[in-house]
Amino acid sequence: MNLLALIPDFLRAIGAVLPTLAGLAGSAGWISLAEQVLSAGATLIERGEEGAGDLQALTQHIQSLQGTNASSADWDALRARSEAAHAILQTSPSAPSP
Amino acid sequence: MRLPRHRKLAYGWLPLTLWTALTIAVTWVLAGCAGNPVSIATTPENKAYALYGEFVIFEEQAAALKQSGTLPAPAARALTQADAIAKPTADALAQAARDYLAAEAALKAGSGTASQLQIATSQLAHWTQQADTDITALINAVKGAHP
Repeated sequence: MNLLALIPDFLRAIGAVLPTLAGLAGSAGWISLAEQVLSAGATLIERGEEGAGDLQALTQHIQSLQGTNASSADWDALRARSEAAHAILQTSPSAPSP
Repeated sequence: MRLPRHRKLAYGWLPLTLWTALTIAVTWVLAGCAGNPVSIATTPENKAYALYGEFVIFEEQAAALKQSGTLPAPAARALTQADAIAKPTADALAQAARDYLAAEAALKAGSGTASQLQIATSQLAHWTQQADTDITALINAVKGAHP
């Protein structure tokens, strides 16, 4: 079992009970912030796992080239992915400040 | 129940502590489990391809993080700015690789010169070095995104 894969769900579960704790403690400010941080952390870890898989695949691909050049199709595929990600980064709205 | 002021201040460090722990976990995942594509590349073109590929992977990470809407605004802005700087350099690297491949093919076909290949190789080395700097900044922004 990959324990790391359970961490995002664990963090979200903690985040889900924090508003209840805030009600008990009578101090919602820091709990709201912690809830946001936990949610962002869960997303970050999920993306980190995906990114690690992508890096591993790229490393294996470079190894398989054995010194020969990557194909133009390989380059085109990367360029297309970059354009898509770039469009999201430069146009999507930012999350509000905590 | 109202908390004393000193207790509230102590709790105020909790999010930062949690975030630091999470950042360390993600850095461990990315750095420890995935290998390093650039370091195993053996030719200038392979190195450029590995570097550009690494850029794309982290650019996608940044896009997904921003799109999730869970990042605080300053962290989201930092990702956008790092991408705005790295993207033109990465594109220049891709173009330099294309020129290098064309010069190499032309030399093999007898229609190009060694001098042309040397210029293309020099350009590729220049943009690889420049891209390494800018892409590292983007990678650090993704790994170190914090509230």
